[in-house]
Formats: sequence, C-alpha cells, structure tokens
Amino acid sequence: MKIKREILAFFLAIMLIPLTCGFAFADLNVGDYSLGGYLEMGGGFLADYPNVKNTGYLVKYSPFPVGPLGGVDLTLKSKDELEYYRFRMSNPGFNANQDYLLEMGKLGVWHVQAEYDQFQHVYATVNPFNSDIGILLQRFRFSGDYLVTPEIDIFIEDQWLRRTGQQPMTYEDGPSTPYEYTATALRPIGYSQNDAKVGAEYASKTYQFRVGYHLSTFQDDNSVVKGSTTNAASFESLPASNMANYITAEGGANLLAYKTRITGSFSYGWLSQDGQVYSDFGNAYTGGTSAPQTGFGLLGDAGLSASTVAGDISGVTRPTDQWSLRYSYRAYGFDNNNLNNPIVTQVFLQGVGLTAQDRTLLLQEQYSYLKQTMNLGTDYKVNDLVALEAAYTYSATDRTENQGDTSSNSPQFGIRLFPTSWLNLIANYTYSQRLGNDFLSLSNTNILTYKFYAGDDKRNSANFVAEAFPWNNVTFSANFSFYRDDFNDSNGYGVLNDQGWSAGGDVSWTPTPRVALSLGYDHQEDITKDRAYFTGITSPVAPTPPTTNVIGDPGPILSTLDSYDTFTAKADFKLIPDKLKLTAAASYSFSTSKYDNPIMPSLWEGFADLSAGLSYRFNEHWGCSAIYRYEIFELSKEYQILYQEGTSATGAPAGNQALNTLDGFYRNATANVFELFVQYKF
Amino acid sequence: MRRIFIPALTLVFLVLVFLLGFSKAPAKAEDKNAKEGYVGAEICQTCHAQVYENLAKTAMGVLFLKHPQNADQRLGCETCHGPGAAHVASGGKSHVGQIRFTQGTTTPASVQDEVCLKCHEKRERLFWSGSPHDSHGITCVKCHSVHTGPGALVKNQLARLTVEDTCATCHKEQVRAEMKFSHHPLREGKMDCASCHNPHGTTSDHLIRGLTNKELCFSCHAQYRGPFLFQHPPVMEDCFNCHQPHGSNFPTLLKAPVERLCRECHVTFHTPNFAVNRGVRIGIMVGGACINCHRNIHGSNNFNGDFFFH
Repeated sequence: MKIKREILAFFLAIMLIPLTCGFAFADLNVGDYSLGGYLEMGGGFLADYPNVKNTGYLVKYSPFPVGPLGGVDLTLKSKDELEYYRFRMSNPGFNANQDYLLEMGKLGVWHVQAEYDQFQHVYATVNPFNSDIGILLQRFRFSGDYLVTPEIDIFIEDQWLRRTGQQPMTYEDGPSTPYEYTATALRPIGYSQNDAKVGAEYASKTYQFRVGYHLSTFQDDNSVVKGSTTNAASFESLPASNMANYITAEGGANLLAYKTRITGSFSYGWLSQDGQVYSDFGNAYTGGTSAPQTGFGLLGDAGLSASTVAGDISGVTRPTDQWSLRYSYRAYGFDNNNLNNPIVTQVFLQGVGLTAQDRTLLLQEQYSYLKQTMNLGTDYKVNDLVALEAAYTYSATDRTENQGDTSSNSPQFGIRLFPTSWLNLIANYTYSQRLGNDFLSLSNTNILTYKFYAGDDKRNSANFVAEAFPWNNVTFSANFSFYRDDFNDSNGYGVLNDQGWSAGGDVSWTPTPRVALSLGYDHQEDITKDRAYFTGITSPVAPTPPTTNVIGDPGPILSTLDSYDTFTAKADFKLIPDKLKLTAAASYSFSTSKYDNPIMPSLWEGFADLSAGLSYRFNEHWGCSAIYRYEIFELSKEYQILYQEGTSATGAPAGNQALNTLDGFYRNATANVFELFVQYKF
Repeated sequence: MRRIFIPALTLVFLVLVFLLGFSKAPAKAEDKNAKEGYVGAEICQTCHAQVYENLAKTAMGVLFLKHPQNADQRLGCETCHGPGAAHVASGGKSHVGQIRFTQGTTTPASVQDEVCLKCHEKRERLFWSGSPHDSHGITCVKCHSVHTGPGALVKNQLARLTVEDTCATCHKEQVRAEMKFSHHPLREGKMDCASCHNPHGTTSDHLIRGLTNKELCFSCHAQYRGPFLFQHPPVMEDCFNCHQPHGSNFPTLLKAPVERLCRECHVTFHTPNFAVNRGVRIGIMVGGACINCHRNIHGSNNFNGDFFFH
C-alpha cells in the first residue's frame, strides 16, 4: 500500500478545517429565502495502483476519484416554499468526470433546468502504440417548462453532445493480399450532436393534445481517415454529417362509455445526409503525421434523404373495475429516397456500367419498408386472489424492391395470483410465429445470406416473478425466465436456434431500524447454434476444399454457450443514531463464453467491487465521511495474450496478427481507492 | 401511396376521437359536491402526523397543504384517499369508501391510478392507459412514493432511492446486465433506465423513448443515422438485430462475438473456420474479427465502401 505522505497530509488538513471554523455558516437566511443543502470537500487517493495501463476496464467511463474532490448541493427556497433555486455540482475541475446542475422554478408554474457534465469512454490503456485511447464526452442539457394556464403547457428541450478523442481501428496493410495483414491506427473523433425539441400541450381531465418539433443535427469534424501514408487501400470514410427533423402530434381522450381512453399519435420525419463523397482517400486525416492529403477526386455531395412516418391509435375500455380491454394499431414507415440518387447509382456502377448484379446489390441496400402492428388484449381480475390476461399481436413488415415481407402472430397469456396479502405470483407465456419470405438467398459472387431477423422463427418465452412480504421487515423476490427461438427456414444454415434461461432472487431484511441488509443473485444462460455453408469461392485465393468434421462445414453445428452470474450484497448500519453510519456494498459478476470452435478459446471475465463508507456527524451542520473502494477485473489469460499479439514489442505490425479494435485492450487490474470528505449541511 | 395513407388515416381518426372526447366529456360536476363527507387535512394530521410531515416536504404537499390551486387540491389528503368522515367516525377502524394504496389493498389498480391521473395524465403519462405496466396491474405507487418510503424526497419521488433500484424490483435481469463487461454508463451514474425508457407508456415497443429502436439509439449515436451510400439492411431496420443494449459479454454491446454474430446471416464467409478462404488468416479473426476489415459496418459514404471496407 503506497500512499504519498504529502497527499495524505493535505487531505487530513482539509478535514480539520471545519473543526476550526465552527458554525460560521449556520442557518443562512437570505431575505425571504432560506438556504438548504450541503457543501462537501475532500479528496481521494489510490492505495494500490500497480500500473496505470492496466486499468482500462475499471476506468472505462469514469476515472478513479483521485485528487481534490468536492460537491455542492444548495437549494434556495422562498419562505412560502413555492419558488426554488437549486445548484448542484460534483467533482468540479475533475476533467473526465464532473457535472453541474442549475434548476429553478415556481411550483405549478414554470421550471427551468440546465445541466452540464462530462465523462470519458476509454477504449484502451494498454495499447503498445498509444496509451489512454478514448473519447471525452461533454453534454449540455437545457429544458424549460411553462404552464401558461392550468391546462396549457409549453416546453423546450435541448441536448448538445460533443465527443472528442480517438478510437482504435485496423486497416489492411498488405503485403501480399489485401486481406492478409492488418495494422492498427487511430480514428479521429470530433462529433457534435445537437437535439432541440419544442412543443406545446393542452391537457384537461377529458382530453389532452400536444404538438412538437424535433431537430437533430450531427456534425463530424473529419471526413476521411488514412491509416498509412504508403498503402493506398488504408483509408476509411468517417461518419457523415447529417440532419433529421420530426414533427409530432399526440393526444388522448377519456370517453364516458365504459371508462374508455383513446390515444393516438402521428409523426413525420425527414432525414438528410449531404456529406462529401470521395473516390478514394482525398483530404485524408493521417493522425497528424503529415498534412491532409489531396489525391483522389471529390465526387460531390451525397444528397441522400429518407423520411419516416408513424401513426398509432390505441384504446383501453374498462367495462368494470375488474375487466379491461386493450386494442391498438401502429404503423411505421421508412421511405428511402435514394434508389435513383446520382451518386448512389454512380458508386454501384463503379465505372463499368450497372450490371444486373450491381442492380441486385443496389436494391438489397436501398429499399423502403412499412411495419404495421395490431394488438388486442384483455385483463380480468377474477377476484382478490386471481387476475388473468390474454393478448394477441399481429405484425407485418413489407419491404419494397422485392426485398421480402415478414409477418408474425403472437398470442400471450398471463396470470397473477395473490394468495395472501403478502405474496404476489406473476407468470406469463408468449408464443410467436414469424413467417418470412425465403430470406436464404444467393447474391453477388455466390454470397449466401440468410436474414435470420426477418425470416421464419418460432419463439416460446415464459416469465415468472414471485414477490413476498412475509413480515414488515422482510421482502423477498424470485424470478425465472425462459425463451427459445427456432429459425427454421434457412435450410439448416446460419443461426439455427437460440435458447436461454435466467433465474434470480433477492432478499432484504431490516432486523432493527438501525440495520438494513440485502442480498441478490442472478444467473443467466444462453445457447446459440449456427452453421455455415461452404460455396467453393475461388477468388481471389483458391480455397482448401472443405473438410469433414470441421466446425461450420455442412454437418457439425457451432454451439456457443454464454453464462452470466451476478451477486450483490448491501448493508447499512446506523451505529449511533444521527451520528455514526456504516454503509457497505459489494457485487461480484462473472461470465463465461464457451465457443465450440478449435480456434477460439473460451472467454472468462470477472468483475468485483466492494465499497465501505463510514460517516460521522459532529453536529447538526458538520460531518465527515471516509470511503474505501476495492475493484478487481480479470479476463481469460488467452484473451489478454491475443489482444496484444497484433504488434511486436516495438509497435510494428507483426505479420498475420490483428488487434482488438472494437473496444480496446483490457487486462487484469486491481484498484484500492480511499476517499475522505467533510460536509457542511445547511 | 399506401405508406402515406395509413398514417394519414391515423391522424384523421385521432382528430375525430379528439372531437368525440370533447363533446361527450362530463363537466367538472363532481367538484360541486367536493366537500361532502370530507374532514380536511388537519384532522388527518391528528393521527397521521408523520405522514403529514413527510407529505409537507414534497412539491405535491406544498401545493396541496399550503397553496392549493383548485378545488381538488384544497381537499388535501382526501384528494387522493377520498372522503374521510366515515373513517374518522369509526375511530380509524373503517376504510369503507376510501381509496387505499398499501400492499394488499382491495382498491382496484385502475381506481388507484385514476386518482393520480386526474392531475398527471399529460406529458410522460399520456400513454399510461393500456401500457405494459398498466396492463400488468402495476400501479403508480408501486414505483412512486407520495409520502412514505425511502425515495419520497428524491427526484420524481421514487419508491426506492434510485431509478435502477426501482426498476430492479421486477426487471432484475436487465438491471444486473449493467454489470457485464460491455455496458452503458449506468453504474457510473451517467445514465439510468429512464434515459432510454419511459415507464409510463409509449407508442413504441418496450416503452422506449423513440419511434423505434433506431431513433432511440440515434438520439446519442447520430453518427450511424445516415442515410448512407452503402446501407447495411439490419442496421436500417433495427440496431438490436446486432446489439444488446442492457449489457453484454462482448465488445460494443454486441449480442454475440463478432465472428459468430456476422455468420448468423452471412452463411458462407469466410469458410467455416475462417482459415482458408480469401486469404483470411486466423489471427485476423481475433478481437474485432470481421470488423477488422469491414470497418464501416453501420454504413459507408465512400465510393469504395461496398462491403463496408472503407
């Protein structure tokens, strides 16, 4: 345990400050307002921090709270308690995890809220090329609400999201075939997204109606990235700037007949994307190693667009307090307007003319679809002990350009039992049969594809929940669920079936008003079976003839088993009422993925965290707390090795290996963190 | 034409229903007899002092007990619980005619919710009736605490201290999924279940805040919205064809390891064990697997973006 003495002395000194200044800030009244809330200051330090590069998983979204920390939560209220102003901030100046909130309003009249926060998404801290690869997310949210009259409400909302940083990526790097070698590079991230919404609502006891407009814009600072200055193939287009607009109208009405409520909504949206399209890597970003390049021609602006329409009508009728009927119809349409877009046509032509094959591919990607869903359901409370429910859902998706239709029928049944006033038993079962066109298709160069998500599927699923409150100080719950999918129109290829189950339970016990304990456990298991098919493609490299008993060849079926286990425990002890409190929480989660495949070793991951906090109140205003956290992450040894095999010790690409580019590199890590705070409460 | 026709028909129907509701709705007739059988909050306070004190600290309590804005609010505790005269007369033993919200109450769920919806049937609660929670008999007080419970003084007056704890009462599997290797920043406190779901009811599946799953995801990940020159059909239809939003063992919230996920649809590539066809070597299939080469899998805006290589 290595604690820097200077750091410890600094925080202990901070903790002693309140004892010297006593009640200087007590009972603040500002005119006709009273001030409440607290000020908190202190800090955290790491007691066990073996290697900063081993903490990728633990600090994925927020860094360890190290250094000076603080928090403020102040509320200013008018004497009549109608007006309020609140300011909250935590960890000011802590770059990768800080937030600020300001809200104010008058109860029942208006409310305004502004919040700024920032946090990180670390992708890697053990990459031999670069450490601390990640993104900083900055988020500003504003919302306002004004009740013009008791019935009329106008509201506005805006969210600005900025992502800056770098993401890992691979690129093809020869030398013999474009598919043989990959190397890593960093993709620049400079995204700005803004979502603004404005609307108005009229709401009476009888009916409600609102209209709204939503504008969403996305801007990318970069358009193309190039992985290597020497390899012409190592370029990648970055996400294109785009825009979406939506107008919505929604409403509901309470009718007299049988306590009926009818609701409906309508939405129309139009999307556009006018990013620049390059014939290759023109104006490429090269990670700062050289100036942006201008090489290949700019084809022009994409000029792509699409629109969405959605409508919904639903109703509930309650002939009696025990019986209700539900019915709804919903339609969602996605209209792709790009089939005849000049740039789209040009990229599919590829300079050789639009062949039938190109046309097939074009239609497979640039189609539109309409999804409609109808639902009927009923609930009946037989008596105080039993309630029954039944529902039927019909859904249909129609795709244009002969891309196939899908429909599904899904009956559902449920029962709720209340055998005693302290026990609830809830169970439901759903059967769903999805029918699709023949989504097993051959296309360009004999690519065999089976769209399992749109094709035939028979699904059975069931859920069970039990809740018990046998005594006032004990609650218990248990849950079990099961599902199985059979994808049976693939001629035995692609994903064949998918099934899983989960079971869990928790118990909480408050033996005395000063002690609260809770425990929970959950297990989940999923098994998927799929099979690939070999078509004998000969280009660009002649394949080895398919062998028998090789996983994925016609015959053997690849089976993957994923299991997850999670334990949670929590305890609260009020050791001295209103003075000394001890809180402890722990969780342990581990998962296993077993691949029935000779080249992929099974994956095991475990994460455990433990935190314990002791808080003491010196008096009505002053208090302090000490928190200890322990976190550990472990991963299968084989994967820690695999993730590093892509490069040599010097960082140069090492032949035929590749790096994990999806979510960075993680290795076993352990952390011990101490935090100390003093708090002043108004 | 058919695509426009159906939603347009929906809109017309909506307007008709709107007018129908307007024409047949009762006036505020019940207000006329509002005082009959009611005793006032001060009387309730006599026996339920702690509850009264808790309620007074909430926004609703401030309005109801100190600054009522209409006849309903002036009834205080009885706004929600109904007239209390009989209850008082019986020395607190009788609850006849009262609306009760405690576990095991005989008051039907729909009647309990009706009390809340009298004032709150707007904004996020517009589609409560017939929503999955309503249909399963989950009442408002199952998740919210009006005056009693650990979350009574936290934002939105939840039944438990946090959104996750409240949802975990029933949705344990989904809440515990955030402990998995790949997860959204829920346990780090940057999101909660309500960031993506509106538990009060929506017109979309699974109570999500979006017309469809796509629109929900694009509210933070608009870089994948497109439209693109080269589109990947499963992306165009539903992000959840490949992703598991609650948490996953596999990177970027994927439903399965990449080398298996892609092959669910792409039956032939790159031969069974990825070792022989098209020069693909085993090493390339670790980590990002297919994504090592097919990098722009969400859609490409590049002239050479077919197969999502660029």
